[in-house]
Amino acid sequence: MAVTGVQLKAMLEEIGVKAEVARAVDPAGPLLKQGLDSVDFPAFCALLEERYKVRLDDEAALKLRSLDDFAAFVGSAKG
Amino acid sequence: MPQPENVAAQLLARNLARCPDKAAYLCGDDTLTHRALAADSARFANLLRARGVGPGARVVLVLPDSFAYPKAFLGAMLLGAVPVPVSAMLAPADYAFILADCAATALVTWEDSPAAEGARGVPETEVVLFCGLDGPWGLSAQPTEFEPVLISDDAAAEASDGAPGFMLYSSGSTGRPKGVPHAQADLLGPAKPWGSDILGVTTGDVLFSASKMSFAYGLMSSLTLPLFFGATGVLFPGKPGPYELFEAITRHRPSLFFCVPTLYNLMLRAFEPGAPGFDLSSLRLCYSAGEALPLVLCQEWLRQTGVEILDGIGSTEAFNLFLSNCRGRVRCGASGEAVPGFEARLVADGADGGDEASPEVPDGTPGNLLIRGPGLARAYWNRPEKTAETMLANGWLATGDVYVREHGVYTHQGRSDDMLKVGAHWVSPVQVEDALRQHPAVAECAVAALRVEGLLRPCAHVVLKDTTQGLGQDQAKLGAEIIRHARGLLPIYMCPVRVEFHTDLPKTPTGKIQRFRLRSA
Repeated sequence: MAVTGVQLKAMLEEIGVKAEVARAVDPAGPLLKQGLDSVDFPAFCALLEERYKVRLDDEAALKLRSLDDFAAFVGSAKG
Repeated sequence: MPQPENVAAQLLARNLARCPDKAAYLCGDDTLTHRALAADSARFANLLRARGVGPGARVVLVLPDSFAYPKAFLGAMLLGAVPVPVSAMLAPADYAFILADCAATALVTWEDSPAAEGARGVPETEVVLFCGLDGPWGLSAQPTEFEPVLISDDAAAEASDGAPGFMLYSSGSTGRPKGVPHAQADLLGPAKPWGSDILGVTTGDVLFSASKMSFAYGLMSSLTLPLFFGATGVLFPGKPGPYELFEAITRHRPSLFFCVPTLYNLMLRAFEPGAPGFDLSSLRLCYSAGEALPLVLCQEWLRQTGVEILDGIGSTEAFNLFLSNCRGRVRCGASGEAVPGFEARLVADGADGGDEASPEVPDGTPGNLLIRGPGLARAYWNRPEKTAETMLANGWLATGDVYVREHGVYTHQGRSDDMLKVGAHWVSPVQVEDALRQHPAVAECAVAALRVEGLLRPCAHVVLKDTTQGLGQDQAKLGAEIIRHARGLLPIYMCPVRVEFHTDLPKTPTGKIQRFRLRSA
């Protein structure tokens, strides 16, 4: 199951990121440089685990920086 | 009998004699020498006295980390007044509570800060001094000579009725912060065991703490250590995000970096080895405290940066680190061993912690951590019940942390109460729940820990007034709305990262919510 950037951006809104910030996110750029903070990041990880039934182990999670990274991770975890 | 000494005067005089023209602090493009710090601290004491502040008076400091901070802290201390550093992230009502609680005579803050707003409703706080990053207006007009006021240790020890040397505020489980008074001499407590034995600080070190000076960890690493060792501290006034921290390290080239797990996590996510602005070559050691450092984060930081992180635990009550890892023998995932000078005991629930005849739990079994050592606060400020619960007989202090010990190494298991440590800040579920209940859709709620990437975050467990709401898409929308609502009312670290909807919450037979059943740690 491919995960789209649009779906992930909608999830950013779901965790409370302002709509204008979420919609403007460059999927290839680091999220921390695009207005996400220390609460948004864990909230996004927690929602991603729940929504896609994937397990972000601590080591893998540290390497995920952009929406593209997250999409690729979910894609490979879902096989 | 030892002569009473003014600790601020002692620190300043020693550096004035050994390294007057060396940088005491770096901040942005500016340098403050030890000579200038001594002069401006004396000026600050004169300014406070001119405004009617005297020995024993509480002087609340709500400032960004900047040159003004050590000047104000040491100036108040020279005068025998009681500096009370308070976080700059609070709301006006919180400041009003703290100012009234400690009956502060003076507030030192920036113009139009929320603290200044809070002070308007507190009649005791007659003096409000507005500061820029360098100090308050009119400071340079004050004389640089000041005869330090001597406070005897005995007077300082009588924390509840006498005048303490300084005081910090720590969040309470009811959401009301409690004052933690310390004797002046306690300011130097962390220098020997932690600074010397654990960190090996020397005069050549440059220390940079991402944790602010209003927290015990930040005050120890940005005030006690640089001044005790005649070293240099880096002060960063802004909000420390991962990119800003890398930039400050690249620019000021610290040798020791003090940070918290939440920020180490974000820094690793932002790290671009070899790229401009990510130069960590000056660091010889990193330290982590404030919340337990996850095993993987500890290992990955070392792997990616080549710099060891020592994890440890301390508290506002101890004004010291009492368990710590040591250089060269780091046990990732553990808080380490008892720091020299401290004793630690692990006791079962319900055991009388002050009774030394009560047995410890065996190795490998979780127990409540009690500590004993020099410089522990002897009482909370005007909170006799809380004091009785925490400051036990025979000098033991109940930390509220649950640990397992194996071969002298302690590993954190959680808390014995409902308090959460999030991003190194104490979070009382009560305060978050009060904010959530103000949302019109929320009937009942409880806040408990959710573990994400090895770190604890607040999770809101909510029962809706209209139980047909909160289904499917509506549920996602409502969850986001509740989180946004919380963000409007609470400091960011208190905001839930997730909302889970329930039809009811687990309760005791008497109707008390059992938050521990909602933890997913």
